[in-house]
Formats: sequence, structure tokens, C-alpha cells
Amino acid sequence: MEEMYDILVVDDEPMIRDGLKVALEMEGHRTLTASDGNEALKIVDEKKPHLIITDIIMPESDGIEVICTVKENNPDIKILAISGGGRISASDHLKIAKQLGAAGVLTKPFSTEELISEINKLFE
Amino acid sequence: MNIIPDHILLLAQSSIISIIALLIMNKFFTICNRIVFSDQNSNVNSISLNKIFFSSIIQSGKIKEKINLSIEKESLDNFFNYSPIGFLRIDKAGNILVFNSSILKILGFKQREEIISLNYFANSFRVKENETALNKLIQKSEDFVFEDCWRKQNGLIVYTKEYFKVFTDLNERVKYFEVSIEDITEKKRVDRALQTSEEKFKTIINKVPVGIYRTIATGEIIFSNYHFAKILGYEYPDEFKGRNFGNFLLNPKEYENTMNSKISLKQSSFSNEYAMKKADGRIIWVHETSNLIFDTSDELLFCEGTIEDVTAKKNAEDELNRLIVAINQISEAIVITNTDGVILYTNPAFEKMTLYTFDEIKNQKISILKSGQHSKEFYKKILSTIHAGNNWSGRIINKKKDGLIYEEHMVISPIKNQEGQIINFVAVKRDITEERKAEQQINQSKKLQAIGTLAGGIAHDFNNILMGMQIYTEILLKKISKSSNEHKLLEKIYAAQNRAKDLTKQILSFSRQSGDDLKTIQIHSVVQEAINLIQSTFPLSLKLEQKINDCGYINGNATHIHQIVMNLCNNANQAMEGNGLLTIELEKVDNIEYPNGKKVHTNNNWIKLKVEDTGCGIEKKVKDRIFEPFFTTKSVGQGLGLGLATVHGIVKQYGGEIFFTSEIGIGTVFYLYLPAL
Repeated sequence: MEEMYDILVVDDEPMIRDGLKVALEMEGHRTLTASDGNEALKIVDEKKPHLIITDIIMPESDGIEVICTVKENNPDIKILAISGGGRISASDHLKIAKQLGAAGVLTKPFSTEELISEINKLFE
Repeated sequence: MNIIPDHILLLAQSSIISIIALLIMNKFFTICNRIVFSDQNSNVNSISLNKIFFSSIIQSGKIKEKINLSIEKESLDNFFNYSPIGFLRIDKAGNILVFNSSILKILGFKQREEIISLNYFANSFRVKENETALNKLIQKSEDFVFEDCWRKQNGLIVYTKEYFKVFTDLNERVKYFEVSIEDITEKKRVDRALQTSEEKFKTIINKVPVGIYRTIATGEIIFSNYHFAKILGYEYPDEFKGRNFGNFLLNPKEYENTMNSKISLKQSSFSNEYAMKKADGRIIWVHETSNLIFDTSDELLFCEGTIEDVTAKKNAEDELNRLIVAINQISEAIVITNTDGVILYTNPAFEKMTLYTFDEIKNQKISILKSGQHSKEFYKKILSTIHAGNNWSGRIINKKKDGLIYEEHMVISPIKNQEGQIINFVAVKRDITEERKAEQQINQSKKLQAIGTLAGGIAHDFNNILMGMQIYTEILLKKISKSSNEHKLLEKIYAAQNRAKDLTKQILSFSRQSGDDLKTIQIHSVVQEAINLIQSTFPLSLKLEQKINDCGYINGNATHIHQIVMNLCNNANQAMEGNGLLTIELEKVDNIEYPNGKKVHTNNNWIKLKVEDTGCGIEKKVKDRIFEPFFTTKSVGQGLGLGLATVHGIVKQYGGEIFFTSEIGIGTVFYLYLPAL
């Protein structure tokens, strides 16, 4: 049995947010969700999760802000950035995320297998 | 042109004769030593004259001398009486003492007696000034030469020239006067006629609007007219007298050489143009027409000629020449027609554009260029615009001499005369065929870019949708028994999702948002690997020739290079229907060579990939669209139309170039240039 973690999933798209929550919980992880950066940062302050899985492009407060704030206030919390691209490519978004301190990146759409394998890599 | 007028010569001649005559007369008087003279025909005076004469000889007592004197006296007597000059000896009161026969003729007397009654000083026609002068001179005992006039007996006026000489005694008291009178009436008339003629001549010479001059062989100016002075900025022609013509030339040496060559060729008449210096230092251009006048031994006597200020003309000519040079060198084609469209002039650029030489096309109608691609209304509109005196500008499709259709941008302007009537049309044309192609390429590139941006945006949302679908499908797949029918159905949904996933990835490839990282790769090995993979799918009837050189590295992605090679080779295979020759070349070059032969030198080195097939070729109508995503000529199910769009997207993402040439039935060649590291 793999170790279980407290994971915060941040995505403005409810289908992805909720889907990831179900998938992660099926793997035994405790999962929290937030629909934008502001909400996520509040949860981080309260719950201090082990891992944050965050989308980059979101309305209001985006994933870049989440990464920067968390890295500043809670550097131990690991971040996995996910993106499906936008005006610039997903890879460009994720490159930036990585530079800002995201421990891992995944390009949407990815499979649950790819996600679990990436999480496991982060906690090795 | 005579410089010493004949009448002056005549005057000089007659003066000399008069002086000689006067001298002879005096000698005669001395010899005779008598006061009274007369004509041989005079009965009274001839006897006393002879008596006196001979008694004088006897008194001398010398026979020999006597004989000699006799001969001398006779000849002088003859001369005295037959001389055309009239002689008078008068006393102090003006009474005639002695006279010769010529005086009768000059003063119009018929009888000798008539003159005896004449008083010299009582000539009522004497010029007033002469009378005063005479009175003064008589008192001073001085000689006097003057011109005067008499009234003849018949009433006519005779003009005379009189040599008045005073004879005095030892106490310097006036003894008598001797006057020789010359009839100058005819000379006066001639003089007046000459004077009138000369004045006329002078007026004409000075009024003609050309400069006239005459030089002697050394170039020294001996005559010039007012206009000559005016042209050179001087006030009077006299200012040139004694000055050398060469001093007024900008390049005297050139003039001298011309003159010497004309002189040696004995060419008497010629024209030339020279730059001359004006009085204020300004340079003017003159047209000179010269005449050389030689003497009988072929020595140059004079050079006479005319000069005309042609500076304005010359400047206008120079300006015209400059314009002609500009028109001949300009890259725009220029054509001038009359109002009926008949070609009067074309410049060299026109020939280059249309392939018609001027000789071929002059006097032809401009409609010779019609391509047949415009309606009658189109041409009517042009004609109505320009005939209304307005400019027309726009694009027009014309036909070259060889039948090739081309597109030009043209401005037609009417040329009007001073009365405002249209006399010609001038058209300035620019071949914009290449420009249009470039414009189309830019448009195509912009179109692809827009599609890319759109596709990128769609892909983002699409990925999110797919992501949700995929997660839930995976959750269900885990929850449902693998042996159940539902699981099988879910697997089909999952497979469809994966296809959709691949599609979005491809869309992102041509929109340059593949998300794939670029890194340093050894291009030739990746290309070779891709060729090996694709080759295995080719039928045996397809021959492959490859020339893959080690070209070093590029910043790229192996998957992209695979996509490029696979797509191009697959297309080639399909174009050849599995039967033909596929040639693949990879080399490193230092410039991009476009199909039109244009080379672009850059600071970069380039990896050139050439993929050539002997297939069916690409139809003209689809040439512009082959890089468009979802554009395909293949049947439904055979391709999505993303292959070349993907190749194009990758090449552009790398900062490279892609283009192709294709001929129906011969084949297609794709050229790709990727920046080398």
C-alpha cells in the first residue's frame, strides 16, 4: 500500500477538480479542492496539505500566484502543476511553473496512471 | 564686310590729288612769276601770259634753261587748264585776278567774262562759319581748307572743297589769295548715300538678335555688334576692340584646337558650341557659326561669325537629358500614347516587362497588351476616367509578348496642352506578379497563424473537457468488472478519447504549441532513423535515393523530425501511387535559395532537407492551400489534412522556411530549411 497524503486539487473546471478528487481518493489519498488561487491559499494556511495539484490558467488568482505564495510561506509543501495550454503552450506554462518551484508538471489530458506515478515520484 | 569704307578711300585719294595739284599750281605760279593767268582759248590773256613768260626767260639769259622752261611751262599750262580742279587767284577785295577753265565748269559759268565780274567773298551761299573763319584767317594770314557751296548760274547748288592760301609781301601784308576749288557735289552725294547705307547697315547689325564679330588671324577682335556685347555682359562693342576672342572662352585651348583643325582643313564655314565667360564671371553657352576668310595664298585673314546665347536651351537640354536618363533607368515601365491609344514612346523597363521592343510596339495600339481577363466595362471605365482628364490607377492583368499573363499596377495620367486639351496619355506600370505572390504568401502565412491561434485556444478547452472525460472513464473502468459488457463499452469510449487526445496534440503541433521540449539533436541521425522506419512501409516498386550528410546539430525535437519525414514521405508515396523515385537529401548550407532563384544570405547556417518525388504533382488551384489544416485532397478516411499543416507548424516553430515546386505529371519537391546550431 502506497503512503497516503493530504492533497489539495486546485482547478476552475469542476469536472476536472471533482474527477481528480474521486480518482485520488480511490487511491487512498485525502483530498481537498479549491476553484481558484485565493481559495486554495486559504486552505493551505488552514490545512497545510502535503501536496498541491494546481492548474495554471484560472480566473481571479491563478496557479502561478499559488506556487509563488506557497513556496514563500510553506516551502515544504510539494506542488504539481497541470496545464492544458492557452494563449501560450502548456509546456511554456509548465516551464514557468517549474522555474517558480513546482516539483512536478503534467500536460492535460493525462491519465490517472500518469498522475499517480508522478505523485509517487515526488515523494520518493 | 568692309572695314575701311570706299568713300573714305575716295576722300583720301581726292585730297592727295588736291594737294599735289596745289603744289603744281604754286610751282606754275612761281615759274610764270605773273599775276594774270588765262585759258589758251582766251585771246586777251593768253598773249600777255606768253609775253610775260617769255620775257622772263629772256631776262634769265640762259638758252638751255629757256628751252627746258618752255617745255615745263607748256606741260604745266596744260595741267593747269585741264585739271579737274578749279583755280582762282583773287585780290584782297575778292576780285578774280586769274582762273582756269575748270572753274567755269565747276561754278556753272558759260562765258569767261561772267566770272570776271564775280567777287569771291560775295558768295551768298557760303557757309556762315566758313565766312567768319575766312575773315579771321585773312587777318592772320593763315591758310584754310574748308568745304563750301555755291549756287550755279542754272540755280543748282555745287558743293566744293576749297584750299585757301594767303600770299603776303615781305612786310607780311596780304598780296593776294590763291584758291583751288574742287567740285565734291558727286562725292557728297555718294558720301550721303554711303552714310545712309552704312547707317542702315549699322542699325541692322546692331538690331539683329545675334552677336556678330570679326577677328583677325591672331584672334584679336576688330569688330563686334551691340548684341555681341550684350551676350557677354558688356555695354558697348568698343570694349572688345583689341581684345582676344579666346579670352572670353572658358576653355580657350579647346577653341584653339578646333580653329587650328578647321584652318588646316581649309574649312571655311562651321558651327560649334562653347562655354563663354560673361563680364560678371558667369558662364554661358553660346552657339557659334564661324566663317574663315583666307587670302589667295590660303593664309587666314579673318574669322567672322555669329554667336547666340543658348544657355537656357542648353540647360533645358541638360534637364531633358537627365529626365531621359532617369526614364530610361527607372524600373517602372513608362508608355506614352496619343488619345487613340497609339503607342508613341516606351522606355527600356517597358521592354523588360512586356518583352516588346520599342520598334516592335511603336504605332501599335496599347490594347495589344490586353489579356482578355477583364470585362469590356473595366476598360470602358478606365477610358472614361482618363478622357475626362482624371488619373486612373489600379491593378490590371495584361499579356506579355510571349503570351504570359502578368499583373501590373498602373497609373494613367492625361497630358494636356496649353489650351487644356488632352493630347497624350502617359502610363507608369509596375509588374506586381511577384509582389502579389509574396502578398499571397504573407496572407497564407497570416491565415495559418490565425488558424493556429484559434486551434490553440480550442485545444485548451478541448483538453480540459477530455481531461474530465478521461478521469471519469478511468474511474469507471476501475470500478466495473473487466469481464462485463459495460467495461468493454467503456474501453471503446476510452479509445475514442485517446484519438481525440492525439488530434488535439496534432492541432497544437501546427499551431506551434505542441508542448514538446526542444533540445539539441543530431539532425542527420534522426532523419536517417525516420527514413528507415518509413521505408519499411514502402512497396518495392518505390525506389528511394538518399543523400544524408552529417550536418551537425539543431535545436529541435526528434518526434517533430519524425513527423516531418513521415508526412513528406507518405505524401510522396501516395502521389506516386507506390511507383516512382523518392529522393531525400540533407545538407548544411549557408543561405536559403528560393525556387525563383533568389538567395537570402543570413548569418545562420541552415540544414536543408529536400524531399523530391516523381508523382502526379500538385494542381495549381490547391497549391496555395496545401499547408492549411484540415485541407486534404485525399478521400474521406485517408487523411485528416493535418500532415503538411503539422510540418509547416514545426518548421515555423523552429524559425525555418518551407516551400515547394511542383509540376503536374512530373513531380513535387519540398525544401525545408531549419536553423543549424
